[in-house]
Amino acid sequence: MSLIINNLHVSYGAIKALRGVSLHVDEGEIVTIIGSNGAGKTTLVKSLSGVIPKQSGKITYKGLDLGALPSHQIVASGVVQVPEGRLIFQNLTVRENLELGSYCRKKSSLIQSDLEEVFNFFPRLKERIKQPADTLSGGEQQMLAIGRALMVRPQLLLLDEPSLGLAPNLVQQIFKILKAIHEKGVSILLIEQDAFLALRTAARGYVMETGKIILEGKSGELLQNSDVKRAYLGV
Amino acid sequence: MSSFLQQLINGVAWGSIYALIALGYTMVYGIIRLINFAHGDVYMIGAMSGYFLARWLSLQNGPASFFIILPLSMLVCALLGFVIEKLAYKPVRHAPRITALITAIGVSLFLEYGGQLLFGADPKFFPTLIPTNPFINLGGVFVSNIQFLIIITSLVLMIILHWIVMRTKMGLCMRAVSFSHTASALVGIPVDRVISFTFILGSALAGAAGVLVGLSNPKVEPLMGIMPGIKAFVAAVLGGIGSIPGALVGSLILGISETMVTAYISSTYRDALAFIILILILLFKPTGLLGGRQQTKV
Ligand SMILES: Nc1ncnc2c1ncn2[C@@H]1O[C@H](COP(=O)(O)OP(=O)(O)OP(=O)(O)O)[C@@H](O)[C@H]1O
Ligand SMILES: [Mg+2]
Repeated sequence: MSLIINNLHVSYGAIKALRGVSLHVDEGEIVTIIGSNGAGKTTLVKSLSGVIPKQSGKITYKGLDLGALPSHQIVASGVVQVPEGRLIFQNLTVRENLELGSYCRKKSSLIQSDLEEVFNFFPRLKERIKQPADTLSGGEQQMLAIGRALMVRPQLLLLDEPSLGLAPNLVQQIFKILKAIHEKGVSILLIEQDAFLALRTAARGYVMETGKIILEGKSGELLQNSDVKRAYLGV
Repeated sequence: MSSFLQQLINGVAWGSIYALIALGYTMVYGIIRLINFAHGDVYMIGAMSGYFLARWLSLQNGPASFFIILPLSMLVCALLGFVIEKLAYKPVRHAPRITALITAIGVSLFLEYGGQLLFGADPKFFPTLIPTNPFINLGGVFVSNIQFLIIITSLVLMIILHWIVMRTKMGLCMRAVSFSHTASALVGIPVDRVISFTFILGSALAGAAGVLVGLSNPKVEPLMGIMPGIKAFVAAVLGGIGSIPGALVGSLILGISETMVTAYISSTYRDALAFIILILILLFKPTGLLGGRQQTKV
């Protein structure tokens, strides 16, 4: 097991957002977390990345205590987040956004080949390399957000609702690329509102409700589960 | 006409000094949204360290001494800026903004009155490293050697700054952090280090301003930073706080209008001008001249 979260508690002042969450992601897995609005999914990945502090609990990645590290060192350890709402640097160009993804790496010779790899996945970014990022469409910004994360050479990619606000065909395209990224050996923790899409993409899944994991299992099992069907699949 | 041109040159020289200070305000604001009220006092420390360095190193008067004192004073201020951020601002970074603002006022008072305690309240006289003389004659309009040095030194420092911000990795990180601390942390940028670097850069520029002022207005004392500090702040707001080109434009406008008011109306109104400009800009264009929402901020 490479990522292990054990009994994680996070609060915003008086609001308890996570109440004892435990989960794990094995090396080379795609795991998804589904759950309705406000369940605490974003809170979970934020505390994984060290953006918000945790009350208690333990987060380890390959034996490393992530809870004790500042965000930039968590990123350097290979755990990289594509945040909800993308957080593209609107004031920078596409190229600058991508270059920032490679900040931690010293060898600049590798940056060019990584750029080429990102352009392989997202040829559209290459055409727009000099463009200010705030002129990109929503879909292109999502591509940039994923591309920027790839520039960090992630081992575990945390994706917080990559389909948010995208047209269905673009969602399909993005998920195809996520699978290709996975095939290159990157583990993925996927947060997704579209439970059907999420469970078809991932091998395992967790269902989260008001700060707790209420169900977990193989995707196939969850797809058949009557509670999941009723609450998240709308059947 | 020639008197007008003469005033213009004087104004540009003053404006360059303001610009060196205003850049620090605007960069720090861009990166942590804090009005660093202690920044004018860092400029005072720049002038003071110039004075003491010249004495301790028993430097001969001459341009060579200037080129020794300038980088050393910048270094002292850079260090001071680094320490101020670490000790005073970093602990309150996630507190409400008013807390940081009050902390900044506290640091400012500490430097002003700590300075009086340490250096004495009496004015010191900056050594005449370079005696003033007319240096360039543009058909009856003179640029003195000191003005020339002020303008050229500021220009060179600003070009270096521009290069750092636009061409280096650290500069790219500064621009990223100014946009979002969270997004920056998530791509692996050590945000704290970038903030430290910004204080170091801004404070070094203020230190340079202190030494340059010492050359033209040799009276230096612990409260000398208050007025120029406020005015450089106004210049930064005028140009659009957070915008580097804005700080330059705002400073030149302020420097030139101040000398014009002094020359053609009365020197009594000189200091009031900055406040009039501040009120007008806050009323009519709070984002400043170049500080649109789309402006690249640092
Ligand atoms: N900064 C904050 N301050 C206070 N409460 C917050 C904050 N951020 C989130 N919350 C609360 O924490 C709970 C969990 O929010 P979170 O964003 O993690 O949900 P989510 O599962 O990601 O929802 P969504 O699917 O809508 O993105 C919610 O009740 C939310 O209102
Ligand atoms: Mg969310």
